[in-house]
Amino acid sequence: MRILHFLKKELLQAIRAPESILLMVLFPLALTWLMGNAFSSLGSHTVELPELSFPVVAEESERLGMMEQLATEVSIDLELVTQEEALEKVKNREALGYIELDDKGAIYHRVDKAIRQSAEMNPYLTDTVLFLFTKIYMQQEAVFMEAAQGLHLDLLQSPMEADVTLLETEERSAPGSFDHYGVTMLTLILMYGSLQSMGMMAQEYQYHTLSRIKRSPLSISSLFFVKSTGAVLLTMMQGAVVMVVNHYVFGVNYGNSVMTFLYLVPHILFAVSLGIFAILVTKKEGTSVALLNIVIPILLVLGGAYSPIPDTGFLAVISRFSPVYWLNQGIFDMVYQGSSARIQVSLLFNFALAAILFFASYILFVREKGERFGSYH
Amino acid sequence: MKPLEVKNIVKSYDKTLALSDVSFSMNEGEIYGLLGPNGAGKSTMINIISGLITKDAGQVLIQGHDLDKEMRTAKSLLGVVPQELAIYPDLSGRANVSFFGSLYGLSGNELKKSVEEVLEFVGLTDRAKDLAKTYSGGMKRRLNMACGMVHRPKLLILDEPTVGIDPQSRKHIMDALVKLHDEGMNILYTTHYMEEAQALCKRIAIMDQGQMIAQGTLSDLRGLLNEKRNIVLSVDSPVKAGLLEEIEGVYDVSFSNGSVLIKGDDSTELIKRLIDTLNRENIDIRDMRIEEINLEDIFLGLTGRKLRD
Repeated sequence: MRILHFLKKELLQAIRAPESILLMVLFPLALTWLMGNAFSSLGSHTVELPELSFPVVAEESERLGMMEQLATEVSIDLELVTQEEALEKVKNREALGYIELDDKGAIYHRVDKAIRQSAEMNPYLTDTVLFLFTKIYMQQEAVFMEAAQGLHLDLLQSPMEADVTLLETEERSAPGSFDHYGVTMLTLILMYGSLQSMGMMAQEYQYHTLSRIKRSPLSISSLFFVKSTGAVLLTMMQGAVVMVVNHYVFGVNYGNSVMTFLYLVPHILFAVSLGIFAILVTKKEGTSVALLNIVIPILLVLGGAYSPIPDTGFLAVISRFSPVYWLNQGIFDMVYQGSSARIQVSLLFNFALAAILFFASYILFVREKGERFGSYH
Repeated sequence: MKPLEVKNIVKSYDKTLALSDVSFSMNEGEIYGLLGPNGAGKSTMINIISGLITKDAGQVLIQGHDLDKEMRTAKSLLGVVPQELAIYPDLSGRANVSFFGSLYGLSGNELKKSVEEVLEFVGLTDRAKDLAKTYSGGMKRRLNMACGMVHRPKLLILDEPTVGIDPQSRKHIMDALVKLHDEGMNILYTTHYMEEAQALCKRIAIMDQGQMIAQGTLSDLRGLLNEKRNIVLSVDSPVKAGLLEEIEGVYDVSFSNGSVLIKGDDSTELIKRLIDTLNRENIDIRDMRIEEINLEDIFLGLTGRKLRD
């Protein structure tokens, strides 16, 4: 019961602290959103084409009919306009260009690069589609002319009706930007759980409550256990909230979410143990914060938190020393390739580090102020 | 069974001897004082008794339970009110007391009842649901005390509980202790304020530089210096510096509001020498008073140093 009361106190204090919500929950969500959008070209992803509607200036209705048929087959809307209207649209950035049908054929009038870049629609894709559409139309017209003259009826069939099988798949072979940062920002903030666990231990020194607790019948071992467990539980709760929001709001793919969450547990243990170790070694909150703010970013950069780690080179070699690397890559491998090799390394690596740091912390904790390891506690 | 027995405690930090063979014991139902200047070893002794730090040698028995062999039982009988505030500012008064009560095995309705009783005792019931950081200094001290006694310990240890607080809060705490004592609680009280020890404690132990100098009732301690006395003189003109200190049998001279306080031998010869000296200097004595020596005097007499520098 004592331990349960203690845990309740720990969680109550932590949840009331505004930094608990701001730093550990809102911050990673904001980062995921920012980084996911900022680096949206990262990885393979599907692009939703905007509704393509191109202005067409045409005086000859026969040519226009053929072009309209082709446009329908490729899901493009053609808007018949006058020359002045087409130029107005281009001037107002409503269109990147227009097609002009005259006796020479189809001409694609495109705007200059600067205007294309300032357009709201995806300029490069739209420009390419328009250009290709015009080309295809010209080629199709040429083929039809030849076919009609040579009476090759089979060539009068639309090229778009050729036997092309279109496959759509919801599965991705690699994470998109949101998927990438949904994982890396999650593991990032769990890593910063070490600052949280350090603070939870430090406050007992700051408020002088540790000595009062040590005077109670609660054993040193129980005290250490509950401080550690409280920090672990809190970090797990925060991680779960971030995962749920990432998945349901940003659509981040965690694969089997329950299993992915379980993979995070050793990492949480490592992070918590690192924070507790830091304060017990330094005995000063300021020094611990400085130390952790050096160690954590290094581990995160090497873990690919901010940008993917290349497969070769110096960075690729030293990143193997970061437990965050193995965890991030392990999750990606599990979700996108079904491979568990790296996640197994992650589990072992994080568990081992957590075990070493917790043990060392326990020794330091018991040996404080004349307490001897092994005596009573 | 004595509430507390301390036998031959030795404690050193590196090469510094903090406690040197200190022994004392408390009787049932008494307030026992540990008096001494800063650095005497009082807090070290309290920390050892409460199990916060280990000792190099000696034995501590709480209600007959050896602190080394039955630490959990011994600790459950103790309540400690530390010198520094040891409360959580981000929890309410009630949550603070409830948490520390739970550490001593209280739970459920028993815990709730004890919490409310102790909050009422220290006068914090109306503010119990407010966060401790909103309390005044005196209220925090009272909360500090409540957290140490919520579980109704057999022995309550207070380590300089009135340091740095206003006189009103100090009086409140001392009144509360008297009330607790009347209800039968055993109290170990450390202080460097002589007047607190004299007012509260039935028996007092005087410590200095890690050693037990003397212990007993105030009468017993005075008896150690039965050859000393305080003489208070009111004179009509200033006394030259050093004049009285040269007189044989005088240990200390101080001046206050036109009076001269002389600490010296308890003998009529001394009084005669004082009168002769003052007459030679044409200084008239308007009033002479012999006072009982107090703890300050006892400490000075035993150690040669003042209790408070």
